[in-house]
Amino acid sequence: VICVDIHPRRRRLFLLTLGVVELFFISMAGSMYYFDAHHPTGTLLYAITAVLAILLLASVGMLVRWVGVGMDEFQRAVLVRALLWGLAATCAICGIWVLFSRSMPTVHMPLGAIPVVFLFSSLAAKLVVKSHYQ
Amino acid sequence: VKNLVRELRADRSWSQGDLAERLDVSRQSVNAIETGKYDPSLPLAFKIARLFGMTIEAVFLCD
Repeated sequence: VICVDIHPRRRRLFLLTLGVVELFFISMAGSMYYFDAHHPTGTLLYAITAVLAILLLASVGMLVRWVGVGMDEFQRAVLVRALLWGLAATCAICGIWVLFSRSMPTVHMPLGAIPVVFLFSSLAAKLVVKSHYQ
Repeated sequence: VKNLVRELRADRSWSQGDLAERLDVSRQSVNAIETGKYDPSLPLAFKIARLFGMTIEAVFLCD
């Protein structure tokens, strides 16, 4: 689904973006494990959440830069539409999930599920949007 | 907006990849423009017209 550009500058930007996003997901998974295992409090709690927030902002910033600079206008149009559909699907799925969890506490939604749902719904949306143009 | 990109490209015996390289866009962009499913921005339309040595109005035809 993801096409790596052969242009060196764009490829470098793409790989940098991928690295930052991967770092966010790894940190997110690590933090969730650490929270479950050690229940951090005080300064450590704030430090972990701040690092996660900074990494999330950095990931989004890199994605915006990549979309703006590293892609041609058609690919940008496809990706933006796919991301919007992915966002809509994520809101819908998470909303339904949260409503279920209010009446059935066992159906608890893990925080890490949100980016995963967004990623998969965006990839699915990208396939649908691309097929529209073929 | 209809266009003559496919015909103009075929006249020059260029593949979609050749045209994409000349325009510095992806091959998918060229395909989407040729099939009329994607209308290029004004700068890209100018680039296409200049590449074929024509005006925008001669390459892109209003429906």
